[in-house]
Amino acid sequence: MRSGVGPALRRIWFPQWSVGTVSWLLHRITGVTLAIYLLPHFLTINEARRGPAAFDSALATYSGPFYAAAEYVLVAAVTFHLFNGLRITAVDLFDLSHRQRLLFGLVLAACLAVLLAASLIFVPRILAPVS
Amino acid sequence: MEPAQPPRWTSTPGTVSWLLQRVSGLFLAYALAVHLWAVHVVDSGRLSWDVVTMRLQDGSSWSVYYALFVPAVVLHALNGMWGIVLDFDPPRRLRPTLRAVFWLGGLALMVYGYMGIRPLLG
Repeated sequence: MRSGVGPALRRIWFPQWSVGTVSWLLHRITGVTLAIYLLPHFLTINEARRGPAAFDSALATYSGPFYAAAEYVLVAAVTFHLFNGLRITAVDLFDLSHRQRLLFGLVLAACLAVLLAASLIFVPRILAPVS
Repeated sequence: MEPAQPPRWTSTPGTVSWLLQRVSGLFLAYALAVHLWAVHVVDSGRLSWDVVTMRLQDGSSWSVYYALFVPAVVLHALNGMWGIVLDFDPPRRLRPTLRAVFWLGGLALMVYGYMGIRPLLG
């Protein structure tokens, strides 16, 4: 095995991009994003305690193409985290680590199917003219 | 050579945390699918107090759903973040304090989340 600062730095900054590493990293990124998103989501929902007008005003903040695109990204994050979480659970419970590549392929296919279907809803909203 | 023994269940904090993450995750796979369908498909682009309250007060078991959904989502999020914190191997003397912060923050978020949805349930 080669030693020295150069190869060590390469191992740190350019890890082996195995299926396990990629799925682990994407699961982390989507998980942290969704966990952080909980707080503003709960803040918005809590406007309901101030009555219908305050709630509608809070929801109106999130209208328009930018927020429609953000919502689409959110749906993508939830979809990947959900299907990949099911894959992790299946690997844990049924000892399927030798099927890692196939299962990750199924996760990506399921995500693609959901996101294509979701694009029918979100793309028109993203492309809608700003009122 | 000793014959291989099957793994045994040991109730360590790590095992309980792993199990809670799996159980809450499986429930959320269902609950989030319902949430996404209801909010981002059925009510897409027309969310308002009237639309949301009409759906949540339609006689279905939405209050039971949210009584389970809010704690599950907060538990799953905070437990997942706690796992990430442990990956960075914080000093052992700091861990009880960090754990307490996560528990208190989680409980507060759970109560706050349910308080928000309560007026919409009628």
